[in-house]
Amino acid sequence: MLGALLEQVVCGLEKIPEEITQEFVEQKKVIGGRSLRLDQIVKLLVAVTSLKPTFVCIDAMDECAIRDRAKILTSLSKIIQKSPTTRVFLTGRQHIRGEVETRLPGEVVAVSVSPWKDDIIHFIRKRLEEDPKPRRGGRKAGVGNCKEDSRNCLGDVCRVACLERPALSYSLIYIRPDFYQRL
Amino acid sequence: MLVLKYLWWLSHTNTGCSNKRGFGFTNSGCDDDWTVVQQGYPIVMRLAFLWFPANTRTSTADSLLYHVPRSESRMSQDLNFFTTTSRNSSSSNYTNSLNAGRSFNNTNCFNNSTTNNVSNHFTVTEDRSEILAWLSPLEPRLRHQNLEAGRVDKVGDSLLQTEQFRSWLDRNSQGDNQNATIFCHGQSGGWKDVYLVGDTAPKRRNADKDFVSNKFPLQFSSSRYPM
Repeated sequence: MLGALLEQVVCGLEKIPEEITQEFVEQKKVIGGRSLRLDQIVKLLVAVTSLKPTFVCIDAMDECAIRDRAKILTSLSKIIQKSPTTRVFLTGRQHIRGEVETRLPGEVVAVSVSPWKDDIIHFIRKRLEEDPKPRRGGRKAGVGNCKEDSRNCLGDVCRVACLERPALSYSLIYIRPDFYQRL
Repeated sequence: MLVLKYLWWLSHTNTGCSNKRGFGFTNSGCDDDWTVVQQGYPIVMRLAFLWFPANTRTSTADSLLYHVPRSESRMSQDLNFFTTTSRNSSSSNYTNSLNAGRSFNNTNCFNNSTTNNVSNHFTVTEDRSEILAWLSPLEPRLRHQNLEAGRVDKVGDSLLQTEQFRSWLDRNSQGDNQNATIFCHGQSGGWKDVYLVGDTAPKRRNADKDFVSNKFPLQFSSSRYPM
């Protein structure tokens, strides 16, 4: 995964840095070629992220295997320490927060993320607008005639659906039969 | 024709007029012209014969020896020049492409941007893609693009307005590691990935000075891919 990070950082540069080309030549000399080791990837990531301020965003850290997660966090720690312009954006479940705060240097900003009510309302409205088979009154309801009390109702209805499946496919949105009557 | 007339007149005056009967002809009068012509003809022909080689030497031979060969030689020279040039250029292309092909053995050549051949471009591009593929065969940007395409506008913008996010984004990056990391935690299905994709919103809207002025390459990866 860190190799994929390195590839993306390099992809954003106009020229491939000399360190990487040298490493590529060295690794090519081995019969059949050889991929980079973790320490080499970290070293190159430090070299590359020092060129430009870089944001590293990693989603679902909690879904990593524990051993891999430790390696990743340790590598990120090295990168942050040696390249101060690099910032890291991580997401994951609550139970790995302690591990993240322990392994990464400095103070880690923790934000509890849950679907904001406004986001849910906006999302439902948008999907209703795009619904190819709108129910009776559906368009009128989705466009913006909601009152404050009906917004709450809308948020509750959709929260259930969104927690069931994180995918934002509107075919998975569960809408109560009395949804439009509440609006 | 003027030259022939002049030669005829010359032979006529030299032979016919001055010593008309001196040539052994007994006829006189009306035969003079014929005699002169007959006597003058070989002279004219001789002169003409002499003239033609001279003419040949000057014009035809010149054209044959100089003009044509010269033009041929020029053509050949040009051709040689062209071929050598093209050969040189092709060889230079070839060597350049070879150099570019070997450029990874010679990093100075690789970083030299003076190579402007198309073949070099292709070579460099191919080598660039080869290096990128060597760095990682994974393509997490596809997932990023899918999430971004499925994301509804303005969803996730609430995170950008939080104090924690602003403190992380506006962190003074002068060597300290404070607030270098932000960790967004939540339950499963809590739209964390959507908020992460929504993090690119300032870049798209050009609302954030840091993203725009410094052109931060916002990188993304997902641990959901095989390690």
